[in-house]
Amino acid sequence: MTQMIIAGEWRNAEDGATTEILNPATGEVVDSVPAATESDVLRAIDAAESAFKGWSAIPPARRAEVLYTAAHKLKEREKVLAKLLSQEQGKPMREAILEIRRFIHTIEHYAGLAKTIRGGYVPALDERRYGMIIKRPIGVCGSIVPWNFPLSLLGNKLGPALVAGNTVVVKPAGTTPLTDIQAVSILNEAGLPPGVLNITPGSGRAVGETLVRDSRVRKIGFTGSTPVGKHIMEAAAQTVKRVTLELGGSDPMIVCDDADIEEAVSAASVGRFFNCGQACLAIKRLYVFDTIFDEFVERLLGKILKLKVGNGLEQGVIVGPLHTASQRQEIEDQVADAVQHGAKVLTGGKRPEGGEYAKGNFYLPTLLVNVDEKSKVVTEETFGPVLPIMRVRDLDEGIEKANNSIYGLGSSVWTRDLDRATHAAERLEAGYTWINSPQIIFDELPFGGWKESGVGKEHGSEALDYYMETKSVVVARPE
Amino acid sequence: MTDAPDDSLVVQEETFGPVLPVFKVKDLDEGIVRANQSRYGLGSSVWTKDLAKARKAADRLQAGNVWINSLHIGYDEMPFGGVKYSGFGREHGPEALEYYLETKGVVIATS
Repeated sequence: MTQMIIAGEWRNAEDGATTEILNPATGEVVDSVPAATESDVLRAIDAAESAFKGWSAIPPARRAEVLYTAAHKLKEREKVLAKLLSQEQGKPMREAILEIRRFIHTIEHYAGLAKTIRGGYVPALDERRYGMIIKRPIGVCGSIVPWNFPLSLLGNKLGPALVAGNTVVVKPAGTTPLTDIQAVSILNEAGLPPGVLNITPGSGRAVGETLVRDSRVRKIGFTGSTPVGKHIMEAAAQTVKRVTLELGGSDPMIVCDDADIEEAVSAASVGRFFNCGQACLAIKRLYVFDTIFDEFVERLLGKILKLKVGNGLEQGVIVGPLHTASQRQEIEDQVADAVQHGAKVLTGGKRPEGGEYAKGNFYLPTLLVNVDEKSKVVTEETFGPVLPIMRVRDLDEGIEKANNSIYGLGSSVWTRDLDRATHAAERLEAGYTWINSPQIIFDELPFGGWKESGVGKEHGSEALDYYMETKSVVVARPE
Repeated sequence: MTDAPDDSLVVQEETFGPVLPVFKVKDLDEGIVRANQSRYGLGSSVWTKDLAKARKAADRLQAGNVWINSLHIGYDEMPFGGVKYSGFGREHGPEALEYYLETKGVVIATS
């Protein structure tokens, strides 16, 4: 069993309860963890509250040194961590290693920002009166992390929170706590004072609700579905907590008639089937100009037929299993609904057959055409390997259809025309637009959704602002 | 009024009328601790000629705004807003504009 970490110590749940963690490719037990109770979480909040005064008083540059040390230790254990991540999550080893590296980069990115924290000065508000604008950490933060990218999405919260001087209680996803616990352990080992960073795995009811409702927790950073995000925002209002919410998306990709088709086909394939389609940021609706539609779809189909489906630990596997059985059920329901509305299945649309496949939650990469805009694969977020492809006359129709969604996370457009590219970048209602590029997240740019895709930003230098309070100080001088 | 107990309504709640409880404190540390014992965090002020005391109060008072040797006057030049149960977001200052704009990252790949 792997224990949880509260105030720098390994601990069991108060009542001794545990949860088994299963491998989604084989159904085998990987390990077990404590199922934290409400009183365990309160203990973690106590620890984070006590540690706040000391940690927030340490200069940011010295806080960053701890993160650099941790990044170094993480690099040394990259392979072991990647294997654990593949086992508990199901993703291929290749993608697991990318995720560990992404986590390290993110930690280093925020450590690097430590020396850029600064405020403002207003020389003369009035005669003999000047102003300073100073930044202060918020306090105890709750970080609630999902199962699709358990580690990199943890980094997006820990990095800015710790560098800004906050203390943290982490709630990992119920099914993927193992790599997160190891990462928290490494950060503690790197020199975080006890209580600065705690992790309590357990249910949303016991752990999540306690974090969201406790008045001492001043900020919640959450990545997950839009319905859960709305619930958190509502609950957080009771204590006027700050929230950063990275929620669902249904990213449109528009391919114009002057696009580099080869590159666009490849971006659509990676953008939809990476992590078996289980990403908030993924190509979920593809809009292709009428005149190139048939050629584009034929080339994409050729590519999809070559994707190898299987256990993430096996060589050459590109698409792993879905993370849980209920996740696969949801995808099956969404595809059935599309077919009922007249969609044609070009490939996939079912589970793969045969021996090993029966043990895991596998589903074949699926392409849909003739899709009714009212079907669930268009209006809802599809969190699996399914891609609906729609015809559009021109860019205006593409943008209008792309914007006809409650979501506004990512978006992309493929064209060689500068004016079309500018038009799309300005008018697509989304927190991110990629032009002639796969949807890759950069630490350098702020990331966060518009509309029902979220509140606040992660990455960029902007992320730090969401983990600090601004304070205006007016100083009057004697005559 | 003087001698208002810490758990009385004039201390716990916002008083929106001409009532002012006045407390005796031994020193700045006690003053700050008691000032921070509130769910609110909008304005605050400290009066001292001592630089170290002014600096400590500016850092440690849990409020969106601190005035030092000054009346609580709002300036367009300075961001204004509360912490804790007093709110989130800022008005005034160039910061206010940020709360009425969405930020978008745009990545352009060039050949």
